[in-house]
Amino acid sequence: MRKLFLIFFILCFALPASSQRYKYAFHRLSTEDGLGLLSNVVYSIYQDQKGFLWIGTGNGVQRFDGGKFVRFDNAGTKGHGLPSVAVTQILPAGDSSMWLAAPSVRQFGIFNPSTFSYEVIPVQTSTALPARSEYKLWQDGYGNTFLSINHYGKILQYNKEQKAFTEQTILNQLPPGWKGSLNVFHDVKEKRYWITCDSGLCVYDERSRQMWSKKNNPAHLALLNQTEVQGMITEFFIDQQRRHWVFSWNGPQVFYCFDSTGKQSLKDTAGLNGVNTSYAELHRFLQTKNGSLWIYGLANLYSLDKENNRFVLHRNQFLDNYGIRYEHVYQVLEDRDGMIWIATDQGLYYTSPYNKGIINMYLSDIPGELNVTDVIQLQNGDYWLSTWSKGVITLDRNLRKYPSPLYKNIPASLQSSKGDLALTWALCQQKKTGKVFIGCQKGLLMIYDPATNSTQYLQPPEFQQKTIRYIAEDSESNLWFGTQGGQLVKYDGVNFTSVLDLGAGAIIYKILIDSKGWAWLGTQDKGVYAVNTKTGKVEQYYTADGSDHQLFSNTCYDIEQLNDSIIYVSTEALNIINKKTGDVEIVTDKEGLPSNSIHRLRLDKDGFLWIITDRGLCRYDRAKKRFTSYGKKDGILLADIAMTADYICHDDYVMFAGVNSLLFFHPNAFKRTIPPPDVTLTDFQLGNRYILIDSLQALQEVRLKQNQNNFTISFASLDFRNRDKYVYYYRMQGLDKNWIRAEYMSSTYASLAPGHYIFQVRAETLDGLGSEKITELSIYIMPPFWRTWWFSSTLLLIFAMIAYSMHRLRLHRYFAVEAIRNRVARDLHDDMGSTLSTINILSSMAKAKLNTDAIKTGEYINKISDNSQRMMEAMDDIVWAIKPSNDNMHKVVARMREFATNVFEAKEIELDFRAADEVNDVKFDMEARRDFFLVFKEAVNNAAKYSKCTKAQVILLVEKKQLMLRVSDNGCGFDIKTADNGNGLGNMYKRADALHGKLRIQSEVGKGTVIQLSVPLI
Amino acid sequence: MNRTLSHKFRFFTFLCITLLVYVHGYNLNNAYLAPFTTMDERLTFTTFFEYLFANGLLRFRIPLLFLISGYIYSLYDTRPYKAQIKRRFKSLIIPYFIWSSFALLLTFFLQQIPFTANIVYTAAVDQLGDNRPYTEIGWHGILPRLLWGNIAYQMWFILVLFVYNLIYPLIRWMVLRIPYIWLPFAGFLWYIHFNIGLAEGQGLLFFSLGVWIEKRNISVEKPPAWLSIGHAWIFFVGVCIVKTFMAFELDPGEMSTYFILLTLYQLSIPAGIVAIWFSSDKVVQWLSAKKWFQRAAGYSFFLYGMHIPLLAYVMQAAVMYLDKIPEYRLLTYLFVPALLALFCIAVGMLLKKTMPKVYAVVTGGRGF
Repeated sequence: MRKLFLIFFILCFALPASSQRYKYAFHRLSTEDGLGLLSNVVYSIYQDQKGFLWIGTGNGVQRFDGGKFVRFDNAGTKGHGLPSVAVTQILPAGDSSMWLAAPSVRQFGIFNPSTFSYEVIPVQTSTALPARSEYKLWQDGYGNTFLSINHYGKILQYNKEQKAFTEQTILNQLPPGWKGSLNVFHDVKEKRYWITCDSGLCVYDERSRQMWSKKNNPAHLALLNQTEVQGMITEFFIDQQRRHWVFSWNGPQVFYCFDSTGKQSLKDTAGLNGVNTSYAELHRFLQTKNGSLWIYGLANLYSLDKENNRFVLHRNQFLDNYGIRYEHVYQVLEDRDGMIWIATDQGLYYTSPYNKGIINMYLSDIPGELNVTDVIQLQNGDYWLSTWSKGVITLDRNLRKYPSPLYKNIPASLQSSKGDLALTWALCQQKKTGKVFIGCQKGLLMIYDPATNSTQYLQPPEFQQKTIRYIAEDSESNLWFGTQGGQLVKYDGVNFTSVLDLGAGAIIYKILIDSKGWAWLGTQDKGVYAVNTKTGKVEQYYTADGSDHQLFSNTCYDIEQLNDSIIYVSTEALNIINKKTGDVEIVTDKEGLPSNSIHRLRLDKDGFLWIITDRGLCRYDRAKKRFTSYGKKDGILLADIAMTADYICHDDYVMFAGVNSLLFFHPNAFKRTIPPPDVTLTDFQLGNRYILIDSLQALQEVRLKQNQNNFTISFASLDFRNRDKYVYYYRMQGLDKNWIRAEYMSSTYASLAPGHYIFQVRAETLDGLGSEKITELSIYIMPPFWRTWWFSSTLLLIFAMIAYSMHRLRLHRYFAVEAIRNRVARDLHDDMGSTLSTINILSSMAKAKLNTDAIKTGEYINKISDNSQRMMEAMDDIVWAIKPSNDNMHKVVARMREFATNVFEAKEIELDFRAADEVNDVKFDMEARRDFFLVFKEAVNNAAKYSKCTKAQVILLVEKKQLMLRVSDNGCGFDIKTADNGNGLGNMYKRADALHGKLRIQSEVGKGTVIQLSVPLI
Repeated sequence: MNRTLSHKFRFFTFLCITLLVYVHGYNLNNAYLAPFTTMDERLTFTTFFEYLFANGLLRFRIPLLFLISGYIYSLYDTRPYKAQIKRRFKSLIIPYFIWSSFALLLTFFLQQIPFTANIVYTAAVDQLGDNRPYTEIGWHGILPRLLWGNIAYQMWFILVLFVYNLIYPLIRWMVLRIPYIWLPFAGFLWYIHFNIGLAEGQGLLFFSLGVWIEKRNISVEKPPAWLSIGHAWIFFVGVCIVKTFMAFELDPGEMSTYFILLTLYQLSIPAGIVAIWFSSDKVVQWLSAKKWFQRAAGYSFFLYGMHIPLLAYVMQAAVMYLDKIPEYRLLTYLFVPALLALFCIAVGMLLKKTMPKVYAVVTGGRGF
């Protein structure tokens, strides 16, 4: 088996670069990962509009955001309970909803994560479903949803109005006796539905609205009459090349492929028949956006290698890092970023087509056989690899191995060292001469001249028989050698000169000739030396021991130069030396370095540093101070073993090599030219509780109570391949002014003050391309009620009402006083003023007649006396009305009684005065009291003066919420019709109106008079 | 009815319909305005202003129209029932179908032009929730839109009014015989926002109140002495402001929010009617003396019938294509309804001048 595995790898990887893109490495997600997958039996996959992957497992439905699986179960679901059994299919159902199929309980429903509601859709069949019915949900090109039921033979269509699957569909017009099987293919281009049946294929043609079969084939579709397409047809598919794939089941399953006309049976089923030797069933097809065709089912997963026109069976029965194992593949899905997801009974796998800019090459099937120590690309494009014990491996530009031109004509003196010549460690091709220098064990040096195809074998004494560990060329074509014994040797084309001796044990691992001509030496336990290649003087020296400018450790494996100032040095961690200032910056895992065990460094043409660590390949961007790891998802498979040599090729490919391994990649292979997808919010954790983010995002604003101000928002770009390589920035508007670079894909907020906030997040590629839209979530933390606008405005309203009431009260009082003053003034003017004038006139007249006419003078004095009496009475009325102590009805009644008694007694009229007790409870204001009294006074005066009565009666009572006043006499009466409505009666009516009352006067000549006033009491 | 009261009714009918245009010109995100609608936008001057006016200060207009209708209908209830209904059929039902058809035709026409079809679709004014083109909906979908799910949704008022005219004898009997049972009952239906089809509480209460006021000969010319108009104004405006803030700040998912907003809304309506009715005498007097006002007021019904769905489409287009202008929503809210009202009146004038008989039919004989 091990051998098979290696053959597979050799087939996969030891091929020209152009062929690598059709190979797949599979990555498995399972219940053991701790990501939350409920079951390793994964039936279905669906990617929603946001980019989340929905997974139907044996234990229900889950959502995957790239970092974790979120379970959706019955708890909190509106409507029906979500299925907790196998969800075998998930299909879109418009907007953010999706169909879930749980055939084991015969349940099909629509799930809306935004509202967290699930609605079971009933299946309405005309007859009972047979036992062991199989179900398949499918959708046509118009988005209509159908349910095919095997053994039942009919197709049901989802009826939106009835909210049920019914048999009302045109697709049920099958020929008599035919039964449909599970699969129907909708050919959108030709507007035809291809229905697989137990007796062949049927086609429903939308244009003619006819159902065609071999029995009725007016369009003469050749495929319907093909002999292979008879009997039980179970699968049908038309691919992008319009090839018609037909699988029949007459005996064992047989696979056919026809051309676009259906006339010609193609022989290029590409080996589908016969690839697999075990029992297999193929059920489903997927053709990706780039045209890759996948066919899969029981014990089979094929992808069509377009270049070789062969189906490749992906199936490994043993564990390995890149294979896939399964008994049943239930679904293959291509996500929106081109990643292939595979639902199997042994977990969820994903893979992606390899980038042609990446080559993983496995060199030997014998463990540890080819221990690569150095690698170069020659000027002719060939690749040479030095190995420890196997000499130099030579590969042409297409990575095909060819015989080494070395090891010929070895001098006799070195015949005994033949084995040492196979222990090669360092390679360098001199630019000027094209000669290849190969450093070996025991200070042996091979110099191969491609021009003459000859090899020179040397063992210069300057190497002190120590292994040559590194060879570098300076700008003047001098070669510099570093040895196992710590010797730095210069070769000027003629002589070898020992420039520096660091002593035994100070292995020189790396020599870097910088742009200034300094040779930087990376050594074992001796730190880093910078030697001036012209003078041989040590210009700078860095160790871990000094007090200043310390390295991380004293052993340096690799050195690279970024620019005139910056030298990268690996001493387990990354040391960044500024040769101008002598400062050393140490970068470790704390700064994002994946591991503090760096093996190789290599700078690419864009200045990015590629690093091989114990944790694989990563890239360091000095400008952004960011490390980005690359692994299996990116097509980098061998980074954990290709860790002993590195090289940058002529075409800018970066090359790393190690035991049996060679890893090539072009840095541009990882460059993204399209912006990253918009960032998706994946979780909202309120305190310790997860809130369904879908429902929150459906809101215009997330409203949180004042004590819900501690929360964490998680986010990610749902590009499953690159999500870890994007740089995320976020900010909380209302709190942060600037964007914050996210260290993790989440942001936590604690004790946010009440107010409106907008959480914003965006992603950037490593090259600075930003996502098109900023993802936002509006959050409102409600203030306590006493800090709300509505509470403040309510207080303001109450205050305004009170203030206005007080103002109104003040105005009322003001107007009341003014009214009193006006009335008093009017009364004084009307009553006092005119009477005083009369008195004045009468007194003048009396004065004039005093000595001449005593009688007249007496009359005038009498009139003066009468007037002054009336004036006194009027004055008394005014004063009485104004006086506050008279503000009750008891006083009014007493005054009325007193007045009536005085008037009638003076005329010797018998008075009957009756006042009910309720009258004392009546409330009148000053004005009303006065009006009421004056009406009474006028009535009494009239009775006393003009009625000539002998008896008079006054009655006061309250009746039907009215104050009643009745003044009657037994006098002479008068004719109301002819009565002079002079001031007296007129004033009475006016005052009654002012009281909103009614005045009635009843009188007839000789029958007395009755005056009745009724005043409504409010 | 004296001349002053007649002028006042005419003034308020025109005012209510003009304000209706402003209520229907509301252009915030959530265009559905119910008494208890909460705001799903942040508190800004625009959102506050539009909500305050469209779902607060201007909401007295429909109850007042019902009140006026009840009063006037009661005033002339000596006419024979059949004659009265026949008359109301001509003045209500025929215009209802005419304007409903106009709205459907206008929408159908706009759906045929891609540019305007997009506006129609985005405006989403279909009352049955299906904004697909009518060619897709078909006749079986258009018929319910003509009969009850009218796209000219303001027409529900005259349909409901016709129902109250039909059952007027019953309402009259209730108002005269058992007012202390009937009016609180109608008030309860109004308060709980009872509304199922044509059976609803708002119109029932205020139409009944109009009848009651007329039959009881209650003076509507001068406020009773106990009534403080100043308090009514403060209460009306204050409650509307408080309610607007609450619509932004209360939790929309709570039942308490529903009842609080509903209660404040219902409180503001009688306060608004009282405050505005008794404060408007001088304005009414002044405007009634102006010829332009008298002419414009004659087109109240035409404006009422024509403005929807036209306003919704024009407003949608304005919002869609003027969004680069600062404060475009507030500006369009202020100006688009006014301009559209002027346009409708101008069309009405033209129609009346050129085709007076047609004008008479579409307005139910009003404005002559």
